[in-house]
Amino acid sequence: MSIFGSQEKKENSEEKFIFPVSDISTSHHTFISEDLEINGNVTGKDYVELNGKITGTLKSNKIDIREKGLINGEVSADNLVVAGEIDGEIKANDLYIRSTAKIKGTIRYKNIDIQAGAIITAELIKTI
Amino acid sequence: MEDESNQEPDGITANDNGCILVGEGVTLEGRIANAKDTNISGTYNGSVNSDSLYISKKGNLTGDIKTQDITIDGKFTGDIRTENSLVVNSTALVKGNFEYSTLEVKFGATIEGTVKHSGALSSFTPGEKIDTSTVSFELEQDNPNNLKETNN
Repeated sequence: MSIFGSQEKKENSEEKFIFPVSDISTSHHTFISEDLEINGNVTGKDYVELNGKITGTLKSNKIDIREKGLINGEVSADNLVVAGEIDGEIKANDLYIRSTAKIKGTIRYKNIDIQAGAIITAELIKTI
Repeated sequence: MEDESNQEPDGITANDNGCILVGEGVTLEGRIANAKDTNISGTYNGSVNSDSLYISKKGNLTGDIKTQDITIDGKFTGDIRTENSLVVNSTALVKGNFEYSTLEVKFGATIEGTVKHSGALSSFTPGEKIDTSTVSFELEQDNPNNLKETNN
């Protein structure tokens, strides 16, 4: 299952829209593009890359919230990488917070890694 | 001359201004104020006001802390206010309330409680920035077409 935004918008730059071919070998790769806004619940099975905006919940095995990705609500994943913004609740076994991340809310984790520069105002809870 | 200098002990000496070391195995209770460098390798119960603070792997600190920079390898329970950096290394076990400017947590560390960024949080407004570039591009693309149509 893949969701793509319109391709026209990136044609002004030298880089045209590149289909994430390298990742397609993993059978369930979901790409949510920058201009996509979703209100509701998104559930993936394997890998979800978020560049757009979700108001609601996002669940999958592995989630990559890129710099332009934004979530208002709840995110839960086994493996979660956050470079974007989250306002709400995070549940992850392995959580990697990148330097560009901005997070407000509650963070439940088993393992956490935070890069210097991230802006976090949250309650941290380690789950067993 | 050389002999005398060789006899000086390594590490912290009486000449180190503003330094305090609570060594491994030592238990101390009290209040540390106006320190420059504080190193807790033993057990310390009390408050710390120091420019920089290091809690080593065997260190155990319970209390309130005000610092510029703090690095934790050991155990900590209490409140921390740091003007610059809070570094929590992988062996650390920390609980409490933390106010920081820069926070770094290494994979494997346990950090529980609340963390609060002391900078301007008003800069954090979710969304809104995303679409501006694409919108302006569309307008630029549309303009030449519109001109051609009007010329025809």
